[in-house]
Amino acid sequence: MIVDIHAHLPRPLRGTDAMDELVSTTAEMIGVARRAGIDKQVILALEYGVQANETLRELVRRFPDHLVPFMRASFVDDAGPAMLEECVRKYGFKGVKLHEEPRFPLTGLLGFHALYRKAAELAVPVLTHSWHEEEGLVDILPRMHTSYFPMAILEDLGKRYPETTFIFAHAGGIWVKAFQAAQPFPNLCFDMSGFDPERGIVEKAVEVLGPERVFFGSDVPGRSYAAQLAKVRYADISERDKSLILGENAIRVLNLEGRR
Amino acid sequence: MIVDLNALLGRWPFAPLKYESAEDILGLMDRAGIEQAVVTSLNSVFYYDAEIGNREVGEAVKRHPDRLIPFVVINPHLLRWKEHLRECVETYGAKGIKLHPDFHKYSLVADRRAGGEVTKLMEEAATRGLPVYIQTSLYDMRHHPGYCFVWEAPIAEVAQALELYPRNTFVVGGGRWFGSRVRELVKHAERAGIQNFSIATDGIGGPWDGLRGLVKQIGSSRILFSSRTPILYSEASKELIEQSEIGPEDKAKILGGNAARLLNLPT
Repeated sequence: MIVDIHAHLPRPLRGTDAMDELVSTTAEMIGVARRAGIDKQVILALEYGVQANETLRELVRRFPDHLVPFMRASFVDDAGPAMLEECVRKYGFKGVKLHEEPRFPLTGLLGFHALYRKAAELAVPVLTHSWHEEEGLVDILPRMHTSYFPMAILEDLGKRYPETTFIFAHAGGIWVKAFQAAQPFPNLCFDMSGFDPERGIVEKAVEVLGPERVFFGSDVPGRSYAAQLAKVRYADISERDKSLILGENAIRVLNLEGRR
Repeated sequence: MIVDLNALLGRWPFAPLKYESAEDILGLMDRAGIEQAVVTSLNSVFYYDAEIGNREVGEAVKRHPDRLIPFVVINPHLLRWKEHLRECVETYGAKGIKLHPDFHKYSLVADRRAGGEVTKLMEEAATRGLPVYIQTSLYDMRHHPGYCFVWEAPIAEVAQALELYPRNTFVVGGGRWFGSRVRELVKHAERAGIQNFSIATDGIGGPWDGLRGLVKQIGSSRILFSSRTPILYSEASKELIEQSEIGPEDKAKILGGNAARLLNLPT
């Protein structure tokens, strides 16, 4: 089974009358995923809040066999942990997603104690957007995108929250350095979503972290399934490793077979 | 027949590529079901003596003439580029020119009025009937090391070049978020009424079936399969085409038919 751990809502919902349009676009996105061999997709809300969660619930109601919902959290709302508990216990959400916000860069990731503890209590992973900050790129990165964080945060998160599973998206930016920083902490994982299908990154992740801490993700709608799947399908790793990365790790961490 | 417009031979200075020799590239082509590939030199992008890399490609093509097709990397601001181009065409049968304005740090359009080297190169290419492949970026800029960061060539400038040099035939390929860059390029081309270019597929990522959208915009006759092997997985771009919801005839043209026409390959 192939599980895509990083799919975005294909378009924002603007008013309840737009739901049919959103369902139609989502159906198209799922159809292409199915043809590419993807069985399930973690769907990530674009926004934080009750409305965004309800939108996800409605989509999951329409595509129950395919979509796995993650709640979008916000750095600026203390109600996030309670909302996560409701989403997980009442509505079957399987994780929580963090992303930088206009007034809250990822450098603030360490200030989210209650959410991380709640995620550990509920046994759901925290998927966070991630991009590195590197000496020499500091002046350039903000001109390309706004989200990056110091590598030291990886180590701090690993030390402070050993019971919480973190999945850092996009191989953490400068992949090899992120893998090395995370290597001593078994609760720190990475998804391979979003960048070009560069040869060697998945191979390095497996070499440094082992295959159990590496996840396939597509980052649609911004990326194509074919290119993102190729990173794993054609990597120079064993078939067993590919099977773990493409689906088994996600099934385990998201408890998709209900074994916990 | 499947023809890849973009395979690279040589070393990438910032990381081991694992597959660097002509024989390595052929192995990757076999694995991906690619019969022929246009190959250019990575070493010629980075060596001051760029001629070494192009000659390495030429010699590799001599060993594998049925599989590899040479393009020559030219930096028009290095002395003797014209003589070297002639050497590559006459000795090695170079079928086209590859430009890297990002790493070689020049404008494609700035010297037009002054009749500078880029203009001379375009004139030479047009006279010889050689297509000019503009690689706007070789590698996702965000993965460049901070101590050696290189901006991609701006797509707006590429668009201007297509218009400034109507006698030339161009192939445009790129790196990060190339799909959105292509949409910008196509809009400009439509406004300017120019069609002297094809798009290479290796940078086209999203949305989930971005290729179908591009075919709707410009048709399938000006899109060329390109993999950027070995930097990228050879299969990625190929499967992007194979999985796209476009017709089988469109796929056949993109995967090889258009390249055969562009390069006068026997079919």
